[in-house]
This record gives sequence, C-alpha cells and structure tokens, in this order.
Amino acid sequence: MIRPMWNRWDWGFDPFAELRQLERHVNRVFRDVHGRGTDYPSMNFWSNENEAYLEMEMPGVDQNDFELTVADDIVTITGTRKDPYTAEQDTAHRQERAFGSFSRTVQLPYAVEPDQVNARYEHGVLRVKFPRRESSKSKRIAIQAN
Amino acid sequence: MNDIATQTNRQPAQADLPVVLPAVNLYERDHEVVIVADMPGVSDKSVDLTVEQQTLTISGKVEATEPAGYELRYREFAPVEYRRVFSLTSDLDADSIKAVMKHGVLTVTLAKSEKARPRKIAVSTAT
Repeated sequence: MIRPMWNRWDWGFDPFAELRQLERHVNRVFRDVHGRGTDYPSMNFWSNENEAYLEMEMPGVDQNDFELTVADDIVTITGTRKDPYTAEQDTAHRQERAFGSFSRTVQLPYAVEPDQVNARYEHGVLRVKFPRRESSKSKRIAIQAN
Repeated sequence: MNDIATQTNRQPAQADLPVVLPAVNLYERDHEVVIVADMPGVSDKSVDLTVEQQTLTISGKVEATEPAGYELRYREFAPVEYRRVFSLTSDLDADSIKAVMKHGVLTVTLAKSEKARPRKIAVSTAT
C-alpha cells in the first residue's frame, strides 16, 4: 500500500492535493477488496496556530492497549487489537475484521508540549489534542529606528 | 474516479451520509449466533437494530465531530452511515436478541430456538 505522508506546507495551496486524493481513493478501493487491515489505521488531522488535533479510527481496542509517544513534533501511536473470540475460529462463518498490531507516525507542523497532550478514546475513535510548545510559536519583534 | 473524488471532497450533510458496510465477524455457538460489527464513531445511542420478517438490519450513523477553530490538514475518513442486513434462519429466536455497543464495536447475540440446539442422545446398550 502506498503510504501518504503529511504535507508540511502551511501556505494553503498544495500542488499535489489532487494526486494525494487519488492515491487515497485507490488505496481505499484495494483496502475494501482485500479486507480492512489494522496495521495502518485511518487518521484525520487538524491544526491551528496553537493546537493540533488528531483522530484515529480503531474500534474494539482497550484503552490500555494504545501507546502514544511524543517527541518534539513527531507523534507515534501504536497498539494491538486483540480478538476476544480466538476460541471460536472454527465456528466462524464470516471473518472480515482484522486483528494484530498497528502503528502510525505523524509529523506535526510544530513541536508540542508532551505533558499537556490530551487523549480520549470515544466510540472506537482515538482523539488527541496537542498544545503547541510555547518556544515554537512565532513572536513578533518590535523594530526600532534611530 | 472524478465522481468519487467530488463526492468525498464535499463535507456530507448529516442527513445523507454515505452508506457503507461494516466489517463483520459471525460466530456460531451451540446455543447462539454472535454477530460482531466494527462501527467506529457510532455511539450506543445512535446504533439501531430492527428485526422484521426474518430480516435483521443493523445501522448506525457516525456523529460528525468536526472540531471548531481548526483548519483541516489531512482527512482519511469521514462520517458515514453503517448499514448491514442479515437474513435470519427460522431456527433463530428473534425475540432473544441482545445487543451491546462498546468502543465502536456492536455485538449482537441471537439464541437458537430450542429445537435447533444440539442435543445429547443417550445411547443404550442392546441387551
């Protein structure tokens, strides 16, 4: 599967946006054909000047089975989706849900405060808020004239 | 392809969400049948089960959770409506249906009717 990277352009126009969109659609078509894997869960990502916000789709995981690590502007979410029905494999008439470990690493547009990261797991969606590190914010410098 | 691109590009209105099939596992036990469906983003309040004439329909809408005050950078999934229809065989007791929603996974349990359950038949020795 082609793995899309985040684009770091902050200037609004992304010349590859159309291409990336096509890539996502092609990936989705193949994912639906081959069954949905867990190794590369889907994400949505928002940001503003002070905060980044991330959503990851991963139903049926115990919240203790997630691991979220933050280093400057790099976020890694790993975990394992366990199958509680392993004893019943032989009587399964249909098995479309995938299990196993998953991992995704994302580069945020700026460094964040690891201690203030807030993560919630709601209805099978992991939602994480990352406050921007104070030192990474741009500051206005007064210009003096003589 | 262009068609799909314009459809998903648009933020869908809550009323006409695209309908998708949830991934399902189906297990059979001695006394019951278990349906497990992945419906991430669907709460226990917005999930819906209907049984009508030997047909079970499970459905649920993802509540849109667009955070305010942010600019979207990247989107790989959007709100959808999950919907799947199962036809129930007559050996299942539709009145016995039980459903649990947890962490975006719907688990439906249907008991088999008394007749369909496996029975142990005592074998007597011929004298």
